[in-house]
Amino acid sequence: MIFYHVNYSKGQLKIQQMAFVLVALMIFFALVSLFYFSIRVSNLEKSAVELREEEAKELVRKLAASPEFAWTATDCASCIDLDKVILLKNRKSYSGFWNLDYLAVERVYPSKQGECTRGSYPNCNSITIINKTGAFGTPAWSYVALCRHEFAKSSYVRCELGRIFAAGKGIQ
Amino acid sequence: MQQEKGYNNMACMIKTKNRKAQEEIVGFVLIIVIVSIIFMVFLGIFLRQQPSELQQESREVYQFLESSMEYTTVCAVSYEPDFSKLGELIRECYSGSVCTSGKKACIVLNQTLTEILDSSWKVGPERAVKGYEFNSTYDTNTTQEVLVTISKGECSFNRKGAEYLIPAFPGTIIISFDLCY
Repeated sequence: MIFYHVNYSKGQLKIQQMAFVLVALMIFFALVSLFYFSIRVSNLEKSAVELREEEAKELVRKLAASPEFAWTATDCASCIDLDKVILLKNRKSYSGFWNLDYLAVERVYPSKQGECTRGSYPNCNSITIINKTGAFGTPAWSYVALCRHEFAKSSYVRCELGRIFAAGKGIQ
Repeated sequence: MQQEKGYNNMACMIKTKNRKAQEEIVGFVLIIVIVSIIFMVFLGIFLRQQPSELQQESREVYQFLESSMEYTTVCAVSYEPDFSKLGELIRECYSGSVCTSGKKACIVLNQTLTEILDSSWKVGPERAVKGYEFNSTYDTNTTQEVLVTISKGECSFNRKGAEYLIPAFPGTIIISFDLCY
């Protein structure tokens, strides 16, 4: 009877040991998979943010191709008519046309100084069309070619490298 | 005597039981140690692998190339003011043309490209963009000739870039620009 009792206890002990080993292994693999998935999810978030930024840049580019900005004198998809842009500045009829808080065009090369006015154009650096509030966050931007008619010696087309910036609900 | 034998047997059984329990615990710990060692070995192999070059296509770089190729340079090959665009100047450089100012098209091209790249991309070890590489090659079915190469900073594995093509019969001018991170 004592022998039977001892055997029964031994069996229980073995089962308990096996259970502990299995529980420990499961906890170990759960920790490993938690670690792995946390890294995967953070990479996924990074990809989502990058995709949203790319999408915003494409929307800004589409804005540059709209009739209000597009350079139509030559076949150029990435060109903006800077003469049109300076005329749009301060034009009240276009104040609510784009659903944007900020819209500006800036020259990258060759860089000059100052905000453009009718008097300083084209020897200036940037043209701000819309600037509703200061709190619009980081605007999306895209590289464009800024083209205009130059009348120095004779009439010719001059294109320079620039950027178009936009921020607001129309770009989100 | 029989009682003594009985006591001796019990002591023996208890000792054996304790030893067995210790053996079981040692076995358990050994399993955990072996699994951890195997895990560490795999982790070490995984971390030691040389990172392969990661090249990503970038819309931003493509838009930069597309826009900068429209830049009006100071070089007019035929007459002033028919100034060449940057993309056209690369073609003129391949042809060995000379500007009306007397400067070679390739010299004006190199100067202009360097200035545009310096103005547009700020690179350095403390910046997000560590370096860049600009390459322009003339590619036909049979040959490939390097026209312009401009690089700045340090380029390693992580790159983001794009290619822009300019037709130049009988071949194509391939312009590639990579930002290095």
